[in-house]
Amino acid sequence: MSLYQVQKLMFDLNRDRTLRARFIESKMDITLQYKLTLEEREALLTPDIGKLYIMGVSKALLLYYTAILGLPRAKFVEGVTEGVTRYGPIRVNNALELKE
Amino acid sequence: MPMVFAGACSHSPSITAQAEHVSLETRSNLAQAFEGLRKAMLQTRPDAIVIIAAEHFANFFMNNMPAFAIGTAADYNGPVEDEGWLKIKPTTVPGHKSLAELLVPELLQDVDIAYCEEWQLDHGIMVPLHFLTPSYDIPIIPVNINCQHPPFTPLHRCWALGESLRRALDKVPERVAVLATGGISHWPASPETGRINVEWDKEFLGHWSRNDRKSLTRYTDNEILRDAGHGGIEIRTFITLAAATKGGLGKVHYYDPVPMFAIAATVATMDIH
Repeated sequence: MSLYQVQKLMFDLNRDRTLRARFIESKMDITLQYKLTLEEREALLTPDIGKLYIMGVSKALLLYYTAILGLPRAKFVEGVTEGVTRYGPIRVNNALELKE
Repeated sequence: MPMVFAGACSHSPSITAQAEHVSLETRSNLAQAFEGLRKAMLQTRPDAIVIIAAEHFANFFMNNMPAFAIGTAADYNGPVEDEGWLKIKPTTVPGHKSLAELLVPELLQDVDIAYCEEWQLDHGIMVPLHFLTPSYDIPIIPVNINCQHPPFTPLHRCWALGESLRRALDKVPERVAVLATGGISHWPASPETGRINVEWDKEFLGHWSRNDRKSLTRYTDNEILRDAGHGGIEIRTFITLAAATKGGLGKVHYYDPVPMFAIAATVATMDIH
């Protein structure tokens, strides 16, 4: 799994309006510029918000990604909630990896 | 006294993005609270605003994540988010470059802070400015604390940043307002979005209002994540401000839990000692 690459794509999209426009035109082409697994690419392209959520994508980046795709906020909340039900717990929860 | 104002407020993007989904009364009350903060700040005639925020992957990523960063640009564009989503028009906010360049070497005496001539403002800064300086006519200096990706900046280092910032501000002639922005307890962008731990918030704000350094810096990140959510990590901005006031007492002017905003909307000020 290349969670870093998934998040890097989202980070780049969030910062770069030109890339954002190109992504809307041709999502597959842009995703091919990042080292993603098939599962990750499919989740990004579908988009499967729930799958991305349980992969451990940053919540902030995922929210922005949803906005970039033009999905309503309700769709985001529905997606992350269903993701846990459908795919199980978050695989890599960055925030909860902390050790005391 | 070069630090002339200390204020704190919420910065949730939903305050502007979801405004139409809350009652007119909720919107109006919060707008009034921001207006009170705006007037109090303007009365101090600031030459610049140092705005301490929790950046949200608009500028920094895991390829190079600073614990602290400060902007040294002549101007800043924002918001990085689409206007249609955040409901704030894209604009250019003036930066106070000369002041920032004076502050950086002073800060580096105490804390390892990254300095940046490029910085895109996200909702953490744009939402407060939208209410506090709607014509963006006071130059800003953005400051970021890593509240986004673990390991987070330790709380005692945030206190050190606040102390250092004050020492640096004491050496400049400009009148500077310092604003901290962020949420207290909140679980944004998750299945628990809208959850607010009022009891925890009030305890934290009590510590903050008393400027109780020991209580403010004793939280562990796991405690914060458990009781105040991943958004609660942003208390770092409030803690930094408290340190910068050198023991000033805080006053919470407004606290209203609004699940649609994913936070308790908060507006507060702190005395400067």
